[in-house]
Amino acid sequence: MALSTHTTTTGFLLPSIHSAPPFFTQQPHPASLSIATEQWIQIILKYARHRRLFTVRVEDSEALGNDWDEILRNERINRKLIPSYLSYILAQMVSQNLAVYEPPKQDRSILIYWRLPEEWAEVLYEWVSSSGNLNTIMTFYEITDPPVESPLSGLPIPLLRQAITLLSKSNRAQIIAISEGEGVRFFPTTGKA
Amino acid sequence: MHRLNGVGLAALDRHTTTSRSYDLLSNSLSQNQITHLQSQLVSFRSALTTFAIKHREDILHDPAFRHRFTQMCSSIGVDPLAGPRKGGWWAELLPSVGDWQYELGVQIVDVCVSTRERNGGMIELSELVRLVRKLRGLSVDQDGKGKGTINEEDIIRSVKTLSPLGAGYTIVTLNDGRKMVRSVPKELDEDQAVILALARAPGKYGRITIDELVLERERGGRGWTRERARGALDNMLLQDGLCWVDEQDNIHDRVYWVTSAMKWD
Repeated sequence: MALSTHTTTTGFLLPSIHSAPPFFTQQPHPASLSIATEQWIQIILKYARHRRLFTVRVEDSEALGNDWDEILRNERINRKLIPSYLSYILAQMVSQNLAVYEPPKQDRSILIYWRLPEEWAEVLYEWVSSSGNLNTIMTFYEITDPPVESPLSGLPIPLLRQAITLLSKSNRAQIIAISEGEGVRFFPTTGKA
Repeated sequence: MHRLNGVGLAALDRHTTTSRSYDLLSNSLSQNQITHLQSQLVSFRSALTTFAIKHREDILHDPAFRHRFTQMCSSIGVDPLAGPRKGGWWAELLPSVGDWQYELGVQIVDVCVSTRERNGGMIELSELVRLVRKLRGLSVDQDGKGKGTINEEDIIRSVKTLSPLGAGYTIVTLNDGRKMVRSVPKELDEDQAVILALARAPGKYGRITIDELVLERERGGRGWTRERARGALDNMLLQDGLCWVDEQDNIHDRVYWVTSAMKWD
């Protein structure tokens, strides 16, 4: 059969290489391996963005019934990504700074940067400004789970924390201790810091 | 009172005269248009020529510039490399740039290098012809006719001119007579040639197993020992990167996929 692209049930367009059986096995030849791995990383990043997913775990390729089913397996050709290969791919993503291990100090699960922390910082600041929340103190929860869905809905706390840290470097935010734990206050870019 | 059209024979005469004048007028109009077009064409040619002479160094040496130039030429329907052999005007005007054979060589290298990731440095001659034609903005049909088209013979000759470069460009003829162009400096041994030919057989799309190479004896095939088959395939897989491996087949432990024989939509 000729290899062709495929649109999944969630409307994601898989490239034709995803229907090639050997794509799901870790290639022994270094050049082939790096080509295949690069393709996997692109697919994972695009799909994460498509579905707003932030985490991949090595286990996700082992059992059915998680958000990554239609990516990490291909039922049409009866293949699934071998977990040891997924683990290698995750390591590559971390080394290319496209993800971090989350929680830290393990290598089974990563936090995906389909937007880099720098980009999240700008998205965050943009949202705070446009929703009129400058100068007020907000809890993390108010940011990641706002009553009206925002570009930041569901953002994992570690990523939010990184974005705030980046903003505080340019004096646009400050983390503040409040009664329920931690909060953050954002400052206008002009005027008093 | 005057009758504009006249009467009787006079009307007939008049009619003939009128239509003759119209003919004259239309002739001279279209003549004008043709002259105008020709002069435009001439000035376009000279502009393009001036451009090419002026930027000759860039065209020859700067890949990005050359790419844009060929793109521009193909978008206006001029093949910059249609050269001496086909009697193209380019060569008459610009013998220095129009070294057709060598330029074709450059395009061959372009295609070979840009598809190397996909096929591991082995490309079927017909596929190469198709891609070079595409690169030159020529129609992709197989008849090999049409102005400035190129064929397998052209490619073979050009590949030979590339050999002094020592980059390993060679034509490999498979057992079944099909030709492939290899762009990696590596001897293709007999067994690999057999495997490549088998991988391209109708319906295979690059999929090869050890069993196939061993068991094919009944169908008048190889009858290789298991060790020989495994050795040849593993060489292609591990040393040359000409194959990818699939370890999730239902029946076979390992299925080898010859990337240059896989069909991508």
